[in-house]
Amino acid sequence: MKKRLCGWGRTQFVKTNALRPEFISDIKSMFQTSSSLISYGCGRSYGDQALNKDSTLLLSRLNRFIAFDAEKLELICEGGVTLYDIQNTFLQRKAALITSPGTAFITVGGAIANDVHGKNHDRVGSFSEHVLWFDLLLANGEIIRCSRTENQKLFFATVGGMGLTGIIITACLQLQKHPIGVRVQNELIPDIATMIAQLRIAREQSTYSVAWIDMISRKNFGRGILSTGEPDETDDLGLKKTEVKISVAAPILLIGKYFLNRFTMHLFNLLYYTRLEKKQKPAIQTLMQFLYPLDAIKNWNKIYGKKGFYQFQCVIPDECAETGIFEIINTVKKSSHVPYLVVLKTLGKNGEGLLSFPMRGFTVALDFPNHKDVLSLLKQLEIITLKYKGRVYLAKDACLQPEDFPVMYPKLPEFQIILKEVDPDKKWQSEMSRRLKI
Amino acid sequence: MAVRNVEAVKNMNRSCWIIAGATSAIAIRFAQLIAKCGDQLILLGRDHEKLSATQKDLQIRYNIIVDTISFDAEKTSEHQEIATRCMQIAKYPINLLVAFGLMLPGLSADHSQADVVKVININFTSVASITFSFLSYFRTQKQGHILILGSVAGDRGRPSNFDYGAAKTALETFYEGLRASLIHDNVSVTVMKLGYIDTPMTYGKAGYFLAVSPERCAEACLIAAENKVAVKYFPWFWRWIMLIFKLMPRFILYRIKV
Repeated sequence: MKKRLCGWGRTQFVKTNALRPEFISDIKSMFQTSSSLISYGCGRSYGDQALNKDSTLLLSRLNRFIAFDAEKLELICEGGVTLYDIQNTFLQRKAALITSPGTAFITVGGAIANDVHGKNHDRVGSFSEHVLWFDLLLANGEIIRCSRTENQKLFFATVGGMGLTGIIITACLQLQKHPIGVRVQNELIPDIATMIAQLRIAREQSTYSVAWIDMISRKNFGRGILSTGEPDETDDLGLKKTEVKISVAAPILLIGKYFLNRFTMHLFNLLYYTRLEKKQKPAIQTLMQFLYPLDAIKNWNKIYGKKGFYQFQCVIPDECAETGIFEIINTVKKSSHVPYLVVLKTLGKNGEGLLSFPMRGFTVALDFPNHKDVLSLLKQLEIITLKYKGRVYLAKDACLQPEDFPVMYPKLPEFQIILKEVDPDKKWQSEMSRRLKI
Repeated sequence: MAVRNVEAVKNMNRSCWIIAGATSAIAIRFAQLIAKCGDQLILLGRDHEKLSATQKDLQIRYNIIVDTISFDAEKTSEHQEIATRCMQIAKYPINLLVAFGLMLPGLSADHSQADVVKVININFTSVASITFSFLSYFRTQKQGHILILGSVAGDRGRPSNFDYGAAKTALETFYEGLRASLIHDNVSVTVMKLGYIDTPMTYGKAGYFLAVSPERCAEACLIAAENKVAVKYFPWFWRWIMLIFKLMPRFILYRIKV
């Protein structure tokens, strides 16, 4: 069926032949008939990574649990299971994913294909490190098991491989024991230099750490909130209710066009910060509330209106983190664009995948409404990232240049060799793979 | 008292839901609701692989035991035996959801003779057969719900699917009579008249933009059954659309392409 699909940023749309299997056994007959394909899970990649104007395989209905070993805490599930499903099911039994990004509405397949990271990357590494194995459907129709010992090469190519090696049909994940609650400490930080120093301390001391930076306010430019968290066993406060209530931002959507501007966002930030100033005592939140604050509004991406938004996320290696982050922030400050949401985090170590994003350093994510000339600013930020030997996160990317890509991801040639072996006819393609000439 | 949401079902007495055609999109969501409420589940389905995938998912997700029995809608001679086996497993008073159905692609008039027989048999004969296999148990337990998935296609005969539609119309008459017969046995019979639901049956069809998620459909089915409704259109607006179609004179109907 022809369907119009877009990335989470809503900047690019494609009309594609969308195929939707209900069971694993349905896939084979579907994928052989189409020319080029890419898998599409929850549509949370920001740019064009899961888009393909030929054919797209919608995997959201392959969302079944297959087996759970309650002793070893190993979960086998289909690739379309969302992290929300996993957390929601197992948190009541005091088990949870070892790491998870800022949204739970992504599929396991997508999490592996982007090697996503969370607020505890320094401690536990990225998502794929806790993937024991997965079954991959190759372009020739064969399904093979990949792990660190079996079909090793393909395992590390698929981790962070943007779905270009095949479809992750099933995966086995290692869960961990985790209480429902997290003791959260929020701290107001006056400027970015202090924030970076504080984050360096937090990465050693806290399980979870993340920082929000205010780049809207002119007077208090660069102030921020450092949020750290520790798993907490105390089970009071009615935390038994693990399910997060999800609301749809319908009223905001209607006024979104008028609602989202520098003034209102400034007002919003002001309220948020003054409220926080009053209560800086640690509070207990559920793990779900702490990890996924934005999931409370299901379609928050639509707040940015018809034209959508870009998110720029890069990592700058530890050695030059201060200078790099400062240069990025100053470039943004000098431009006419205002990022409404800025998140700063530390990353612990390099990812295992050939195209994994994480490396030891600081990662910064900035949300820009799709205003005129925003692309030229993004290009500037890309150059700065290159200069400091950092890299751009492909899950968020919509406009990286093909010539910069191999510089940021030096293992690309290795990846391409594996692709040639397993997919010589380029069955798996996305708008992103064409743009970046992978 | 009328049941308005699924939460309210949780507080009712335990029962056992038997779902025939348990791997269909609506049945899967329905089974999830039942599992969430903590009731017993027996799933009947033909495709062993799909049935077992559905069973495992429910068991892990809701930490319960789910029974499955292999069941072929077309083999009506086996239905009585399957019913007996279900009754051996059932720990509580039973309810029945018949959720299988078949719609073949292409215009009905272009279908082969064998195809038309198959469509009518699966959508009508098999449904009636599995229901009747359980009938004596319903009459002795003097409670329970029988839930049948009908279709708005049954309201008027259209070139696109009149074989399917006719079978669904037959269902309605059949279950209207059954409801009347069982009324003194305190067994309720509900026919859901479904419009476009986002299932493989409608995926890619012209009216797909109207499709409602199977989750919402399953909720509506459960609530309708608990409230002992006779016939319910879902989504609600189909009641009014079909009213217009039912009142429409033939000479106009024949000229409309839908």
